[in-house]
Amino acid sequence: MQSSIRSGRPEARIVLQPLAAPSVLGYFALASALIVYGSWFAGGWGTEKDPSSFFPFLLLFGGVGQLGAALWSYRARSAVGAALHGSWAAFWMGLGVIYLLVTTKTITVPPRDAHWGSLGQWMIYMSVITFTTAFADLARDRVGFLAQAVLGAAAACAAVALLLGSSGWEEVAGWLFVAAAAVAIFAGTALMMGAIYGRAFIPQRGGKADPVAYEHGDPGVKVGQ
Amino acid sequence: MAQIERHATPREADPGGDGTPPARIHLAPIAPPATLGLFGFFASTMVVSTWLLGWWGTATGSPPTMFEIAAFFGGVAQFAAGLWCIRARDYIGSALLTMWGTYWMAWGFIQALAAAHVITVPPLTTPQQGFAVWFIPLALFTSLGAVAALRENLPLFTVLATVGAGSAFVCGGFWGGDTTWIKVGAWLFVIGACAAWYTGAMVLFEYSWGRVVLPFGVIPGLMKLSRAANRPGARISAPVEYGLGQPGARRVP
Repeated sequence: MQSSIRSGRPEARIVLQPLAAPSVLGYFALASALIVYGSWFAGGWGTEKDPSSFFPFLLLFGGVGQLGAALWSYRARSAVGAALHGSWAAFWMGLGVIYLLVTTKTITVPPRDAHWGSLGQWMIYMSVITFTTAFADLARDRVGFLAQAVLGAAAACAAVALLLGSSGWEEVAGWLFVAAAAVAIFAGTALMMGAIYGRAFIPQRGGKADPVAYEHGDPGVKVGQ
Repeated sequence: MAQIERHATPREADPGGDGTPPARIHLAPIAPPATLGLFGFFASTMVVSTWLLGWWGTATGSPPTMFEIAAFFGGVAQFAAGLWCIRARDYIGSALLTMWGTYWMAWGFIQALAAAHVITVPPLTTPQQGFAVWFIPLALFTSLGAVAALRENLPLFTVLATVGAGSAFVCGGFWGGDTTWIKVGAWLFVIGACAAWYTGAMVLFEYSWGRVVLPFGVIPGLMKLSRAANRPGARISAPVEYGLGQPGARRVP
């Protein structure tokens, strides 16, 4: 029976709201930015001028898109998703604005294989944070752990490269970013396909999914649209 | 809505019989928002404080490529995490993560205007009272948060106490153009930033692993959590989940 406001302490009920996993968007956005920036950073293609063409992509998909995934991760009860995607979203938005300011000739940045102290400093802390979220993800998602462990190592190598101005370390870091992107794509794809086809594509705790849904309802009440 | 009113019986519409509508409190679980905010604070504070301490970079060459990520990570991300703390019913996080988020965004504005040559940021030896005054409310409210954190855990108290004290030193340093005071404040910020990483990781690990990994530093009797929170491996939460459901109906890592 429901209580009235005056007749005593109201009843409480814990309400669980199922969502599509925000980390699908999060991993896809992260991987996209990593592929573009990592392969360029490694010296695999392009010139010093190319960031002026690809910075809007880093800023908006790697940044804003991933931030959206991070904030929905709170509702999805994904602590790792919120911390990982939120941290890297902020990084890509910041790096995007750096190259925006370079494009408008407001600031200058060192060439790709030269010492760049401030970005090297940021890479140190991105590495620490990414290894931290990787350890947390090891509790349930080994593919997510692998993606973050490789990404943490890539950021550490990038920190060394930028602080020393070493093109060799830069090449290692850039291709590690791309490797992390490949694992992140697998993690995001497995999450999406697992939800759509109703079976786990990667080993996870919790067994086969059986979501609560009313198939004749609106989106949200049923799964999908 | 009209249909519901038509079908509601007097008993359903007024179960207490005292003329008031029925009420039920809905509690909705979310992932802990503080971790992202504390990580943003950690990274931004480390980068800028170690620069203030002269560990790396140059006085004028570093800020133009340093402020952008600080404005988004320490700023936008920390601010968003602080707003989600309202949903998490977390008084300290909702007030202080949002406040420090706005600080980093505002500092980013200053540096952006300097990079665009609209304003000039003077060297640390020049008194900057218009900037120093920012740190009066920051020191006051962060220190009040430290007093509140005495009911939570020692790592969070350490974050707020050192950052609150550091803000007071930095305020004095910028007010008088005294680099010694600024460096004392920067050292306190470095300690606070490391404690912020620990606090964020402590919360994240406990949530993901379902048991204590990093000790919570609880003083029994003074703080809300039990002594068990200090023991790695102890279970201190029992979340409500539908294990076969989608994210939201259950915790995900």
